[in-house]
Amino acid sequence: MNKIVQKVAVAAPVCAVFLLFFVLPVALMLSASFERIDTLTLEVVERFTFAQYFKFLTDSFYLRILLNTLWISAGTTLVSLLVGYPVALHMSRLEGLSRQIILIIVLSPLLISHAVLNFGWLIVLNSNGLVNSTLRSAGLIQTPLPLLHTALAVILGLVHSHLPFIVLPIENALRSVRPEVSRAAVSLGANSFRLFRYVTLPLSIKGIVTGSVIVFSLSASSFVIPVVLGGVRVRTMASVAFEEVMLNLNAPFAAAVSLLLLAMTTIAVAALGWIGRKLQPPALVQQAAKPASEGAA
Amino acid sequence: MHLTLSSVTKHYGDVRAVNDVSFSLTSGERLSLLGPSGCGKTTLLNAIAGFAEISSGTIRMGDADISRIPPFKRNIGIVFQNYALFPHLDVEENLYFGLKMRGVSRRDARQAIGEALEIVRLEPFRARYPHQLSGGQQQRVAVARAIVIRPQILLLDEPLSNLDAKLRHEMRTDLLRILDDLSITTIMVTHDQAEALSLSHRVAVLNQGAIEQIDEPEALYERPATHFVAGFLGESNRFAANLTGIDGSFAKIALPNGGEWRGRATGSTPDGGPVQVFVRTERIGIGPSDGAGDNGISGTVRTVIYLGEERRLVVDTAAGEIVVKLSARDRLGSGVGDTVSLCWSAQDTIILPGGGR
Repeated sequence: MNKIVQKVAVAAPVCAVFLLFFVLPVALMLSASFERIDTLTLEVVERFTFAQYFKFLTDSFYLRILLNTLWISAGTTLVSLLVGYPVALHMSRLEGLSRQIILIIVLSPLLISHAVLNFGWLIVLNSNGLVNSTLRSAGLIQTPLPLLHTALAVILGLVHSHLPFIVLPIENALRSVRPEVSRAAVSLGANSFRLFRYVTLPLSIKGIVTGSVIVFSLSASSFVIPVVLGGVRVRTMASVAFEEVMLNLNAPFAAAVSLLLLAMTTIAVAALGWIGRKLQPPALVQQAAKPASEGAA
Repeated sequence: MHLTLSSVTKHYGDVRAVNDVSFSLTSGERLSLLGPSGCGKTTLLNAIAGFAEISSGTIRMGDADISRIPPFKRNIGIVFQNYALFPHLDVEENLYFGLKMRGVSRRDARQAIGEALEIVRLEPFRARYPHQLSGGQQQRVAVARAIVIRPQILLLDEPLSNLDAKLRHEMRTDLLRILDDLSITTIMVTHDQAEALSLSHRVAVLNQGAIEQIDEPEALYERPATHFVAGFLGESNRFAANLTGIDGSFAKIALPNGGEWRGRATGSTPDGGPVQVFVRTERIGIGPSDGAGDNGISGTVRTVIYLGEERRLVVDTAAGEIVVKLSARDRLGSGVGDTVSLCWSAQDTIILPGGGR
């Protein structure tokens, strides 16, 4: 009995925080999303209706935004992975000061506010920006390329700000691979490609999945970066929810959009986890299993 | 396949980790590289494996110079100190890895894998993952994985050091049987002299990157050529003395305290001058001297350490502190404070030229 009390006491603070800051808001949002209000008087005209969801799911304008959010998040995850993996691989082989320096560079996006980061990209990507002026003075283009307010710009910004979240888990996974294991593979005849394909990559799947889940979720719910770098042309679920609640004062529809975003992210994360488990070598899934006793030989 | 190292040197900056090492192994021979940590033995092993590029010299396998060949093309089997099994692959897949790299199909690999597992007696464990195996089993998988590719050279890095003491004894016997069965040219790195003496045909003692002495185990133990080897192998009492003359196969030595002993004279024993005298702790007995060739000294027992299978006595004598290792059969009731006389034969008195410590 005492033990149960103890367990409850230990879990209570985190449960309270979780209830207060996650379960309660989501529950409120859920109940709000089934309401319908008069957008002029803001009075609730219906308590329980699927109208908001119906509105969203039957309008290709909104469905396109859902798909847009999905592919921007997926694209960000993929690009982060392609950019981040080599960095993680290199970092995992360094020690001491050189690793610290790379670590600081990798973490630097977290040290800069999103506003500054966005402003930087605005300078680089606008029609008189670094990229366009360089290309123009090189004579490669006559009219500036429309770089800003494109999905590409949004992905660039998201990759930049979320890169640490994919580099660190992968580096961590790679670090747990003993250097002798790689040497063993080489001594058995594996060249660098095969070493990577058959040893390094399988042993870092866990880090890849963890990093991808974090980057995908953060990208899908990101608000500031898509709004600034995507403008009105690249809309995402987060920006639609913001507009609905702040500009159109349609809280029920904003709630429905938010919950659909949550559902999309949950499904995507579950899918990533499933893929990860499929790719994960079986031994590492059951790593927790008790090792055989010494001397049983 | 024979292996020849000629003047192999490896620098790290200004440090010479391996300094002008030359030796050669005949086909099927087993050599141990023995030395304290930091003596360069691991660097030498890495140089042979190809993980450390040598600064100068050549390594030849058969007639081919392999000094500049990348490690994945050397066809050398390596058993790592921590086994370095692939944690994501089961035993069979661990063994298949090297064969897969050689383009052997899974079906053709079955027999080779079966044979290798039979040699290390692990056939029932082929579907286990490394973390499901004991340390001794992992070690044998590591050996099987290294030999299944039929390497021309086998390298063992501290093969038994990761096992606890009891298992280490069992595995030493096992490993000896396996190595005898294989008769592959083998180089083993170890800091454990029992491992080196028992598993190899010849032992090279390394110190500060260079070979001090390379010889068969018994010769190395009985006839050390340098102070370092005499002090490193086994446990010795060491005395500074003066050589006063040679009398047939014996040398006369004078101790600073006025005592006179006789020691074994070899071809390399000088005619006179300062020498270092080494007497192994297990060669000293307690009791009056009973032969003409014997040396003796008396002293007071300062400490008795009981270790079960042996007892160690630290005796204060006129020639300094002498450690005596007595086997459990030597039933002597000597206790702390007793006066004892120590004796040992002149044959066991090793004389090496050179002054003080």
